[in-house]
Amino acid sequence: MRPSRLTPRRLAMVLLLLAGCLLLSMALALTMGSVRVPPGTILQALSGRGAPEETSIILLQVRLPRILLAALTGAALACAGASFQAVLRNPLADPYILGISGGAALGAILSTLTGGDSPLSGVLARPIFAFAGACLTVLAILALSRSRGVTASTPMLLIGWIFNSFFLALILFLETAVDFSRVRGAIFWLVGTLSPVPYPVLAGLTAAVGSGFVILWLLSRDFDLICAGEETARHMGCNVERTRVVAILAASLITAAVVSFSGLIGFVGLIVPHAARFLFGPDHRLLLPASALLGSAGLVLADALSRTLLAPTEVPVGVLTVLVGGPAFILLYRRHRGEISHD
Amino acid sequence: MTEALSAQRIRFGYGSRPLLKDFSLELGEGEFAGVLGPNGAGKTTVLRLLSGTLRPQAGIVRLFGESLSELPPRKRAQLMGVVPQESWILFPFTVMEVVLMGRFPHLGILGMENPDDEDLALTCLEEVGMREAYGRPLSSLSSGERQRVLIARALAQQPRILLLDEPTTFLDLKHRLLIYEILSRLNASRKLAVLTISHDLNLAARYCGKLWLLKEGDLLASGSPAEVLTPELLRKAYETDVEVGHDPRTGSPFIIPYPSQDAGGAS
Repeated sequence: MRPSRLTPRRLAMVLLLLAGCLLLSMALALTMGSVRVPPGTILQALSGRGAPEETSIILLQVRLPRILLAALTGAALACAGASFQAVLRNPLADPYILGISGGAALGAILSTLTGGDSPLSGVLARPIFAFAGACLTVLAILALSRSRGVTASTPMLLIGWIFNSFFLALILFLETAVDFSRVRGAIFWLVGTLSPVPYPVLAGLTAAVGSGFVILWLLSRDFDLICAGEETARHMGCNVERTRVVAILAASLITAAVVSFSGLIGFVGLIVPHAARFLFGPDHRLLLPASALLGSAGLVLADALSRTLLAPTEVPVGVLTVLVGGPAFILLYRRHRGEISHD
Repeated sequence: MTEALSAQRIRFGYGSRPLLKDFSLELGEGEFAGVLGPNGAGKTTVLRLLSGTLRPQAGIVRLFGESLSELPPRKRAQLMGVVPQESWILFPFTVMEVVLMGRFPHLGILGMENPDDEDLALTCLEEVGMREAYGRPLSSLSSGERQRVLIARALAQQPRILLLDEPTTFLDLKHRLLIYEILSRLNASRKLAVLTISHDLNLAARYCGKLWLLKEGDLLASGSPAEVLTPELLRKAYETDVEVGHDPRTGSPFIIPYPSQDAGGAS
């Protein structure tokens, strides 16, 4: 049984432990790939001395940025999933299942179609368009699945799924209409793939995901209260409307930021928060950072697996997460059926 | 003396359909009172207006002299605790975690409860007889036990007034009595003002000092149980014949319903 209340000590212990797991998984991922690199060489390359130049390039220009992107993406998706589950009061919410990632992807593709692929549009316009796409999608879902002030979980999942299918079709249609040869690239993008991105882009991405995370974390106690019911949360002094709007904006921001560079990686936002809740309890002050670290480590390992499973061919990491996430969704659906039909 | 809670000619409705017409209420500090009425009388609307969930379209609600709609949410929650009818919660929070949520209005952003908060939560659980259950998931409790935990959560806000939305609706005889006993004890020991929105005429008659009887958004009567729970008024409110007797032990009125004599009802 977990302790009766969350203390700063417990928070720090759990997060340190998970940060350790994340570092380990990143170190492991650095050694894995079509070329195996022993740990000693990795240390040499990271310190900038003694490693063969070719190995250094593989590690620092190819593997490391990709691992960092995986870590950021996993953290962002898991944290967004946990937040959406709370503020939408739906235990099966996930940015991918609800079509929010799809909305972000559509926004991102629209920006590349309109603005071309100049470096500026790639780095700035793409995430902004993606953010707009994600926000519009959540707001539409919320408006459509709410009646008489109550959000209903099952219609929300259905509507989200329809949005998702619709966006995917639209993305493929647009890509085909513009340039037939790009379709293959689009498909690859739609299932979610991680590839190395330049370090300045990674820095910008870290800033976006980091600020979104801080905003969500500051709202984490409000999330606990909203789990007890919207009116009840209000009675305990929570400003539910403001919390919901700010949380949706922040969670959409971090989703859109990572979707712009990694495509649609599904179910991370569903599975990771449930695993974290199972391990550490439902208190969001711990759950949000724990989900972020766990999601980070999880996606780093999943990506390493995707590079090595059928090497030298790569399986898109989005394929792996959906292969695990689909069955997990069914299990979670059976477990939470009572709660979902409750609304 | 300032009233703990007062409503002056408040009105609320959707479109042209009024749910509550010019309702007034005054609840003094340390009073135990109830709002009664049949389904659709506007009881829930009264609770939502008095708790600040809804804003009256006319009139004003005051909490300890201050306009309810202008009080910041946390300040309001420090003065008034509300026990909802619905006790379901998303995710497996334990009893202790649920009661500690009541500390929210006293803590800052990301504030974490300290050992004092935990002691206070245990005291609140003690008051409702649920101390031993502190580590159990809320969902594993019976509805009567859950109701008691929700009262403890409201107490953890350290309010001076407690509002309860039909606290006994889904409960068995034992728990219905127990809830009112707990409320009556809190009312006496903490000088806590209590307002229940209720269906339960006999319990309200026994425990409440003051009653308001509603029908279709109109106030039919208000006053002491003896003044409000008369056969004529109840017949008018519930369209049912009633016999009003007197409880030999407590002297409070008790109500026995009979099928209405004239088939058309009392309207």
